[in-house]
Amino acid sequence: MDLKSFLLEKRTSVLERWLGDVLSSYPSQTAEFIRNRKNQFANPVGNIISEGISGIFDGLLAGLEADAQPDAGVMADFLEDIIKVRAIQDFSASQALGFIFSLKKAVRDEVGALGEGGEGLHKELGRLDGSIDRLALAAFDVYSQCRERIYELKANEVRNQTYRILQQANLICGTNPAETGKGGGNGDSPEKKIG
Amino acid sequence: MFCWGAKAKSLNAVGFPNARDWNPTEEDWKLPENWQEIFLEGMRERLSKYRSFRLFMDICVRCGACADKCHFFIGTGDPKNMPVLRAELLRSVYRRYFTKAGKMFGKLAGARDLDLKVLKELWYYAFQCTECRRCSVFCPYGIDTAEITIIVRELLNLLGLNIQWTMGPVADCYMKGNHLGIEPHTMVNIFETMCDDIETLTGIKITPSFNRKGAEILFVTPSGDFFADPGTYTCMGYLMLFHELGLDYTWSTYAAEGGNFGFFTSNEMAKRLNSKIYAEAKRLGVKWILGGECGHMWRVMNQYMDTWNGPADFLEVPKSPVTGTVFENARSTRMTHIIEFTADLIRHGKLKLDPRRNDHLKVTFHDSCNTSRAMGIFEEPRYVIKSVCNHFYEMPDGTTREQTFCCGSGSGFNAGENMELRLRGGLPRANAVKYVRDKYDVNMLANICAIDRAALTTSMNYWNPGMGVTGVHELVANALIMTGEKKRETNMRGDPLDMPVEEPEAEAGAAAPADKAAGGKANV
Ligand code: SF4
Ligand code: SF4
Repeated sequence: MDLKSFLLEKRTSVLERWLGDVLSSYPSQTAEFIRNRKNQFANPVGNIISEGISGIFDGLLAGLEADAQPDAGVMADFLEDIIKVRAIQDFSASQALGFIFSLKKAVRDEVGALGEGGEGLHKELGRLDGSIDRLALAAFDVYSQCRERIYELKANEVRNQTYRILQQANLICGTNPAETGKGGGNGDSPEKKIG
Repeated sequence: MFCWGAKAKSLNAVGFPNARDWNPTEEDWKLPENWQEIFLEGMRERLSKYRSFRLFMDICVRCGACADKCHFFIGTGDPKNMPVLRAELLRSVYRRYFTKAGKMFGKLAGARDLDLKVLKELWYYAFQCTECRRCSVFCPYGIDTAEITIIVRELLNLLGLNIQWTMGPVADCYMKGNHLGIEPHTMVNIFETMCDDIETLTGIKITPSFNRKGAEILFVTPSGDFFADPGTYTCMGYLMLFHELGLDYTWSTYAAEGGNFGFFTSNEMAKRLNSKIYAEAKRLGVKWILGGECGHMWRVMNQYMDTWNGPADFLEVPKSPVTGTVFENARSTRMTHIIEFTADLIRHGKLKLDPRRNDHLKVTFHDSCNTSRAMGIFEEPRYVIKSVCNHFYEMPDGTTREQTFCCGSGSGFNAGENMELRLRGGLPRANAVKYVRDKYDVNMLANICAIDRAALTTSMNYWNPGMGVTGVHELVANALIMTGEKKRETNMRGDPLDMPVEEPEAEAGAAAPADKAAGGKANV
């Protein structure tokens, strides 16, 4: 059996392992909710992650065809959906993107479970690893685009929310420093957690 | 992830205690020495004053029905944003100081000492609750965690621990009449600019009046409607509608703010800001008050105004001068929501409308937390939208009406520094919008709240780029056939109209415009 057929057969199990690894980045109560609440509107994060990793997995498998190149386009949307969520959650860049590499572990665990019978498959893993690495590079781009977008939103919002006043420039007379986007802080990043 | 602390000058402007500049990122919050005493005394006072508060402290059975209903839990994944655990932050302090079991058994009884760590945690999570009340819909005991957050913020306020994004507007509203501290002449200038835009669009010159004594109606809307796009288009919509009706109404530069950020600091401050609207109504001698598209302004009116400042019996019960409908539901506050007013106009065939002018739009409607859960306004906005648009699509069940998801930025923390937090909280709403976008090509998200118009614009730019955000009266204005208007080439935003070119009169769907009310409008 080649790697692709094997992974197709074990699709559910690999995805379970992968999902488990992604969810380990959340507190246990949250992970339980994300995993078990099936309604896509009540649990958007769970839905986006599950759909996303399935889509990416299928894209990677398609790329394992003899001459095929992984279709980045198909996977890009799924990748973007997940990363958009992780980019605004309380994660560093490496934590936000680490989930991509945990697919390698999920696949190896599955192949490893075959014991000696899985040896032939090990040889093919290199090709899959290469695809995952390329995916990770693409993910860095998506992540930085998301972060840039957030900074743009911060800048544009102040401008948009005072558009009519800017039209009347110099006529405003207020006491509200919030309109400059910053109040009582001293310039430190507000993204640090207090404690 | 949090907002900057409230500044001394804003706190001083309204006489709030313990005013000082402080910084949440620093270890030392410059608290008064006896801060515990102040906090606990404040709690004792409120426990005896508000029966609901004591009840909410006592009766939670930790069934967990509310746990996964909060948009902040859903979006952040932080268990402390589960409503039950958010409330537990204060409940543990309540147990320690106000129950026998807690006093005797401490931790064993789920009690915590009120130390600095606990105080900081209370502060941190009080500003991760938009007081949206979604959780209360699911609680079998009707526990309203929003009310608990409101009390926590009041207690923090006693220690000068508010956020500047809320306090700045409170101070400005108190001193100058609106959230940005716009002075009267600037406000009038802004309206002149909007009227110029309307003239370009329709060929009709509108000259609204300000502070006019003897007008029949005082109109009050959140100031966001005249200083922020896309709210400005909705504001122009009001101006056009009132002109077409010949309504005898006035704006006020004193009660220039329908929003009430005081509500996000303390009941007392909310009451003070609310009373300005009524003082102005009295001074001008109007008969009743009409209010624009806003969220928390209406929660304040519907749930609190009557207790604080009501009944407003120096005014008359609102009665539409166009249809004669009496708005009995406003018998005590004497203030009517414009969406009810407009729905009534349409029901009586008083507006000429051409919904094809909105054919470039596929519209969905976001129920604002306050107008839905605090007022039950569900049908009127949908009725109005369907009367002025040909393409309307509902978001899925469980995300609309009383179960609507918050925009993620309500209750006074629509700031820049906590953008990620707002985007987390905004995800469940945005996710439902994405669904109707993908399924029906929806491209416009309508709502009747000024904070929504600002917050959803940002949220959509991140989650669903290309999705427009609009107030309902912008859609009304697009469709409204005004007497003597020139042929409309564009919609309110200046985008070309996507419809067959015909003279509007030929397509007029409704009755003739109402008689113009008495003139004599004085401009300042
Ligand atoms: S009121 Fe809204 S924001 Fe606050 S805990 Fe309940 S659901 Fe969450
Ligand atoms: S639903 Fe009500 S009783 Fe149940 S945990 Fe939540 S607040 Fe407590």
